[in-house]
Amino acid sequence: MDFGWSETEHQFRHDIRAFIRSELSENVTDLVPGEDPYSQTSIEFCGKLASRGWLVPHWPVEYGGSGASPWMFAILSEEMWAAGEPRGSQYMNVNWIGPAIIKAGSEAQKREHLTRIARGDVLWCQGFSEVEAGSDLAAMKTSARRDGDCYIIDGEKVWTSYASRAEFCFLLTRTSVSGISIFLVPMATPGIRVEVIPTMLDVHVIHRLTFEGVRIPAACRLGEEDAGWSIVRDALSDERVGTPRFARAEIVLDRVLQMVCAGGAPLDGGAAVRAVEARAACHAARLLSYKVRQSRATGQSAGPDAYVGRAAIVRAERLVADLVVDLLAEESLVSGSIADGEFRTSMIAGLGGGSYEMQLNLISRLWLNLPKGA
Amino acid sequence: MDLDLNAPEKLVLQKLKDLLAAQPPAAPVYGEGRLDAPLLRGLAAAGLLAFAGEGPQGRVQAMLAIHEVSKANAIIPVGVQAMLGPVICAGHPGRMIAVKQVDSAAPVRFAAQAELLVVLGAEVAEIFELEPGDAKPEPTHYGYPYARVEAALPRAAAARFPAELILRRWQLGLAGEITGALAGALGYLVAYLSQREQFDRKLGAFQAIQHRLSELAVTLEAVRHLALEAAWSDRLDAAAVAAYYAADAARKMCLEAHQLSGAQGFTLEAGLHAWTLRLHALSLEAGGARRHAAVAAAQLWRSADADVPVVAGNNDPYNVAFETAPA
Repeated sequence: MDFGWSETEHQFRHDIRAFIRSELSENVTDLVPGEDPYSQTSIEFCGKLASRGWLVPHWPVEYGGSGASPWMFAILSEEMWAAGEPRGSQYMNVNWIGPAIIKAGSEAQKREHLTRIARGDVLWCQGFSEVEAGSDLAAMKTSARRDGDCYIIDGEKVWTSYASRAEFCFLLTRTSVSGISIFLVPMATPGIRVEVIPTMLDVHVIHRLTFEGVRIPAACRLGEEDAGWSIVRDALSDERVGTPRFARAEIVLDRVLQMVCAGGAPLDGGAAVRAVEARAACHAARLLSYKVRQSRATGQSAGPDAYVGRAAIVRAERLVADLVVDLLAEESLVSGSIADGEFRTSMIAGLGGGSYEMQLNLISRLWLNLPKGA
Repeated sequence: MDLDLNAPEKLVLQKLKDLLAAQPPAAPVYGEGRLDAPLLRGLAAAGLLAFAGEGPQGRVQAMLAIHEVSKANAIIPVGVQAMLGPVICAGHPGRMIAVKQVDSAAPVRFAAQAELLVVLGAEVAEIFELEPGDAKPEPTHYGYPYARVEAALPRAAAARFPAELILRRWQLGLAGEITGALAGALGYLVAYLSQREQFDRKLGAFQAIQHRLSELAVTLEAVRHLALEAAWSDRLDAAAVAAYYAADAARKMCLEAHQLSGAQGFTLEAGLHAWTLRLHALSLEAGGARRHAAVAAAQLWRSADADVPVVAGNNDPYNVAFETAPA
């Protein structure tokens, strides 16, 4: 085992931090990750990242990447999240939508999508959840029916981020009784309706996507018909730890401690213990995420490591949120304040990318090999 | 960064497996466990307690060895021997060491069996040769022999070391021993709850049980990796964080393991106590979780230039520190 970074990796982290400082205003780095009002900022920032080869450094060279190690991408992701995730929705593109297309896409799909994702000039959304298929994704009913050279899609997806600005949707549909297929759907296709679902998340907007007789070419299908599960399972393992929330939570923790201790005010012993617990949880989440990166680095499936890593990330974010809200008390109620943002972010942490309880289910089955439930 | 075990680490684990198979630890007893002196000698003779003197990779090997020995329920001070032994008595890995804090009169683990006593002060740790009568055994039920030692021994210190070095190695050893015992306890729980049937079902098939075991598994993996990385880095902040998280996890596991294993878990024939009572004892050593946290907080949040987020002497690039040190 080796827990050190190479000189190249140290320098990469240093360079990214310097770039973020020069390119982003502080108000971006203080806000909730991935929020819609900053999409234009996000697009411009991603373009600049791409011009330096930093948007998809881990992708193969032929698809616009630099062929860098997954560790470089881990460093990049950490620094992005520590800066409020200025890539906005594009973290999805580079983290798992692009890699899924690299693995399962046709040559035409690769040409059409990967270049744009690598350039940072396209927004995507993901059509996964349905009203009756949240954690139980297998219960989805949105269907894609073959009709000559096309498919006809009918159904409804909900709680979808970025849909109002996205050009494409990474859509899961049912193509047979037990088969799921993935489609890369242009959002401008007739028959797609996007509605905002009002939520308590303020700046982070989620949507309902309705598909009524949406006709798309069969060439939009990713991989074989009914073979979507294996693709999406692999993609989700990237998503589960692809968002290093611990990096942002750690920064929030440090900033709030700075605020509370400004002027030399000491932190009381109880709060200091909680601060160490939260910091320890963040760092443990980082290390357990690295386990998943390690699998990627060696070309192996992450397996249940992804679920353990994801659970650790959720824990860390909640511990930080709980502490900073306590430390800032009523100040944390102010809209847009750092503790308000962390509180709301922590509420989402246990749901996005698969619920916390699903991770525990999977750990019990695949890590602990416990007996199956009734 | 490479989190897979390398060939030397696998070899260490194989050697430990072979040694523990040839020389299995004594069956756990209730009360003050008896030092497994033959196993300690065997580990020392096989060179399995000397790794921590050999750089980052060696310290990782030492941590792996501590995990395995503690998981096997061996009643030896494997954490101290593996992490402090190469520092204090490099040429004599079998010499037994006990550690106490200068400001504590509390019972000390293995004090009555040790040849050397480390007295940890604020700046300096002093090493004393122990003589018969220095340590007065105290009865406990927590799996280890304990004894009190006079506050001031009537002889000069044999050696002195920087307190920080001794503290971080002590904390590393504790984090490692706790990791092993956590793994042992969780292994017991999974095995027991996978076969115990109530309400016509295996208890481990109930989601309420599964989630609690999964939470424990996540905690164990967190502690294990914090401990391994702390061993690799050999930094006080990392060691204190690992020791804090481990001590906190130990206390939680002790209660949770007995809750989940029901009345059966309290019986001595079940054997669960061998891990849980040791976990409880280990959670209190070196001042316990609050003391570890205080050390960690003082290290983590101290003066640093915001533009250079690397604390002086600290090679952790993501360890951003700030101006005001919490008291």
